[in-house]
Amino acid sequence: MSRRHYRPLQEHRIPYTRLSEAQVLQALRPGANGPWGFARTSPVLAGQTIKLITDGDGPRLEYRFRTDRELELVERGGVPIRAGYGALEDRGLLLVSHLIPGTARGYCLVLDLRSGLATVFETTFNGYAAIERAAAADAGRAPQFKTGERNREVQRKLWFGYIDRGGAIPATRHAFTNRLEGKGIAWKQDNDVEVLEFYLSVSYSNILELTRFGGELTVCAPTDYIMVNDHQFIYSRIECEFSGTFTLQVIDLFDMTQQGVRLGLTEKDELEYYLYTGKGEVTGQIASFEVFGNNSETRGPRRVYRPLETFETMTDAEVKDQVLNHAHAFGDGKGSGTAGMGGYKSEKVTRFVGRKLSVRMDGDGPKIDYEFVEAGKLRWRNAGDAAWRDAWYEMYEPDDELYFFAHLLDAEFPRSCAMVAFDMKNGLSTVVKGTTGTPFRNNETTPHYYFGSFSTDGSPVPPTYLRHGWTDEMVGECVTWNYQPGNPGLTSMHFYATPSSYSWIIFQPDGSGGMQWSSPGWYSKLRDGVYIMAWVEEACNGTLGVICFNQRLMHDAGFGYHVGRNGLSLSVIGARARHAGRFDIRRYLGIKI
Amino acid sequence: MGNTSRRDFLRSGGTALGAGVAVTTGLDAATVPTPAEDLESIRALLRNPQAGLWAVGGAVTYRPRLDTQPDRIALAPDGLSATAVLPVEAEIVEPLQGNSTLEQMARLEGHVARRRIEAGQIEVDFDKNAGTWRLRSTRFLPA
Repeated sequence: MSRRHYRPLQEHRIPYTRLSEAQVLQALRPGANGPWGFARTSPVLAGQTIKLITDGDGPRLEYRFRTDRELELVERGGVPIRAGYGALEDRGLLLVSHLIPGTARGYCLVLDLRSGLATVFETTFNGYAAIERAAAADAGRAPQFKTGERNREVQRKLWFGYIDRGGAIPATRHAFTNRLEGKGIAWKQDNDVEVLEFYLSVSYSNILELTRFGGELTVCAPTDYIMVNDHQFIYSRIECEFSGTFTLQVIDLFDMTQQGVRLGLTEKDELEYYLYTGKGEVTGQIASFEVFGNNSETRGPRRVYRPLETFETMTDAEVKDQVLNHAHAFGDGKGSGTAGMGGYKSEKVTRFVGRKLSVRMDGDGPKIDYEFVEAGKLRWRNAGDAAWRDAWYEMYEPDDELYFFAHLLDAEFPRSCAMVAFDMKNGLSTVVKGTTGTPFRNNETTPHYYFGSFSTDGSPVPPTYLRHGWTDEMVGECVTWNYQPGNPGLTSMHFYATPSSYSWIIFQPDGSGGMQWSSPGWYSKLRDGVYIMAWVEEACNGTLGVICFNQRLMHDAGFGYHVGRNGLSLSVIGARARHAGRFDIRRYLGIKI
Repeated sequence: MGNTSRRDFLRSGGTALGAGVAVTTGLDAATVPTPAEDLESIRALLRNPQAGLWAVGGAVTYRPRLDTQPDRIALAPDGLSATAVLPVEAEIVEPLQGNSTLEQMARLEGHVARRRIEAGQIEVDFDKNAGTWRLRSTRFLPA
């Protein structure tokens, strides 16, 4: 297990500096000499001249590699520029990286010296604003620059092409692919960085930084997957919305090696530009959902999900108004309907109408008495209080005689809800209390877990010491969730990445994985194969989702708690699951096997 | 790869309503077009590959079936507007509602709540400005 460096702020909470173009140029200066790295740069190009032709409107690049560290480049017939460079080789594939001194641009090349094919990445800092303005104009909206113009974020243009050797033009090209989709690899780099990567999409990937972030939270980044041959692939990602760092690596599945380059600005705004090599282990291969024969060569443009740019942060006063004056639970007694994430909700439970229930969480946890007045309506009070409060509720039975219901708590700011699971077979109960607000944003939510017991007519005497509790049994699992009929319908895949986080993947219309994002997530076990999983869409939508997942039924019952411009809502979640596979990653996370 | 079904064909050329699909009549300002030329300009617009598929309110895309059934075009007496009625096969799309993260992301990926193919006709309004016919609005009428 690697040495962990836990961080006070995870990626989505780090206030990366809004750098000006001049500041970026200044920070890039050391890059003029090329990337550093532990591995010796390949000498194979020294003394050679190479002309690269790329397709479409791509660049024509004429290189003269003066030494194994210095090159001259002529772009589009212009004036030669000199730059430092670095190169790494893998079985005939050469990864070359350099910046163009005095500019915010550079190139990363993957040259196949056997076939003569080439893939060219032009990297640019200071490019986000122009792209966003163009996208906004297309969409008829205002550009979104909440966190500045993201000059620190690398943009990449990507072209396929070939090395012009004066002969016939090669008929083939490197191509986008889904042949890495579903694979996970644990990498250990020559700089002692350990990272788990998961390729769950054809346009995004998950990264779990063990060394730099302690492996607490997986994050997602827009990604390119390019196939060279059956065992060599080009992988590139940009850590958009975060540091903006660009990573490009050649992956060789024959000997499980990587040759990579990392280019970006750290949270201290210092240049991070180095070559690395690494050794990997496959952690698993889960299912993919395209029809056979779909290899994703014509993947189309890569979309970037930008929740940090689009999430609207509300003020204290705004949230207070919503939670006090615009709070709604389950259609205010009319039922939550089957829209959205409740398309496959199970039958509501009414068997407790007319009965009382007392839940007693351990320690300082909630101790609440209930009277289920009618279907959809209950009365509750904190133990010891005289006054009862009315609330709308919905109750489901995610497993035999295991019940799960939710309701809003007092109309105060911040406002909370209670999601209560109670097991009529053993007297145990778990309460997830959701409360509006986090230290970062008022219109996010925070969950608190409590374990304890309950009593009602006919309930068994609960155990004295045994409780529901935290579990890591779901770590590594991938499960698709279909919330509405249709193909793919309203469907996502959950990847339970660590004991404290998860990621969700949205399928593209052809069944391939598309955009994804991640959040903190927590897992508790109620019974064998029955779990409560809670997540908060931090810096994204702020929603607290809590599901009780029955792996035998491959179904869930759950609730969503959200506050936004349209009010505070407590709603139902009900979806059908398929098992997509599992990554064997527990040992990398320090979890006892 | 891929399904070359009618649905894909229908999807492939969709353009947004109000995209200002237009053709130039090629007439100089001194030339006054005859109704026959107007009709031909409108038909050219209808047959234009880029204009042959439209979306109605973002919810309907359709393909005119001009190969099997004729259009009907009515020119206004002043020659500045026209209405065409075309038999079509329409793909009716019900957009995804809701504002959860999942729904937001699914919309970004191009997902909709439901799609279905329906026969019917569309009425397309055109107007002419500075010698150029432009599509003004469309209405889908189920059969």
